[in-house]
Amino acid sequence: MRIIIGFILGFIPGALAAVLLMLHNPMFDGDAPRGASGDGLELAVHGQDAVNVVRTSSGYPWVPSEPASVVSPNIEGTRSAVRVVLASTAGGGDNAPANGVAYIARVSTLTREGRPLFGEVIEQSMWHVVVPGGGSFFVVGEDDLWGFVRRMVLPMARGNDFRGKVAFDTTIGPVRGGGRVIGLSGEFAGQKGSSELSQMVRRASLVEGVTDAESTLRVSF
Amino acid sequence: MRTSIIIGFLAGIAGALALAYTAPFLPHDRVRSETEVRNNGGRFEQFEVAGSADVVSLLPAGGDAQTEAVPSGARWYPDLAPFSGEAAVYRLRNASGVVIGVASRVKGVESPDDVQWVLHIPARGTIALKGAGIGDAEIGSVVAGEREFAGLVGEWQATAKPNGGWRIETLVIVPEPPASLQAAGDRS
Repeated sequence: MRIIIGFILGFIPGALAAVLLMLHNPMFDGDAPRGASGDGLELAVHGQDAVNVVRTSSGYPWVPSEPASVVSPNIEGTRSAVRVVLASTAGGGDNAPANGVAYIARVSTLTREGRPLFGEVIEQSMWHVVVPGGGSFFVVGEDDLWGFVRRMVLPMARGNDFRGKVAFDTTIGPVRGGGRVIGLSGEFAGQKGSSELSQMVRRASLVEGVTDAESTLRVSF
Repeated sequence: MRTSIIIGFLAGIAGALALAYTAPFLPHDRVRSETEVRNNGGRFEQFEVAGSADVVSLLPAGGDAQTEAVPSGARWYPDLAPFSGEAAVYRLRNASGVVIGVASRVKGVESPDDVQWVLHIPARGTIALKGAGIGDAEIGSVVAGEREFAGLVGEWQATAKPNGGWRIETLVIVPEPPASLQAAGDRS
């Protein structure tokens, strides 16, 4: 009995020590390298602009899906997320209507391809971007969310909601330089592009997930 | 006692590192894909949107007073008023009716008949479709895919159901590699 109690007394601090070591490992800070910038389009996605935000599964069993009627085991279990948001377009090259708006549908999934041990929490996504009067394209992105885990899990694990301002560049692929822009049509037709995603979180909790955040998808042509 | 604490401590470190390496907390339940291989080597697969119960969100085209927005009261942002298209997000099912993912559909991007779909199956990947509407049907080609659908080319057809659902059929093939790569393969 003493052996079992001793093992448990050692196991818990050992596991905690390993988690702290991973979260504070300076080799994996969670910031993706910035890609080359160029003429293009900047899509700033603000929470308050959302026409409708839908999470078929938040990725955490204790966070409810929105709306509840969407819940299905194969979506819930695989932790997918769908968002339909409005975005403002700004700056960029000749192809973008400056300071206009765009329709974006984004579907994404946390995958098992990332290794948290090496600072990887990989989310794969496809963006469907429609710029009225301009054209449309798809963006395939691969983002590393380790930065979120590293800087926000500890405060939230202590029972406190995260409140602050943390910014991350998250895109790491699938191609060198960022996300792949494909299926371009309208005024974007015939161009080649890449993308990178920056995200800023202001408020999050373990119960509700990220509740106040802003994302910027920069698409360079 | 001291020895068991030390062993427990080391086991705790090893266990946490093993969990962080394998990430078992991200399960992917893959429903067996119901594909049918055609004579030309193409892979045929059918997807379904069962009906109004599968509508996650729906923004009807401006001026369409008969179609009800989901959720109720949702509307296009005023600055998008020049965009006369319609957009929807659905739950996506396989041919057997099992929910396997989600689908996004946008119509009227460049012209009233222009239509685009994104089919997202978390356990398998994503496929993007572009085409045009002809009556109650929509046809077009596969423009992009990722993960299991990466590199595939092919065509698709979607047929509207009276209850608001859709039947989406895809026929895809893996394109022939360039002749230079084939020659290299033959030499090896």
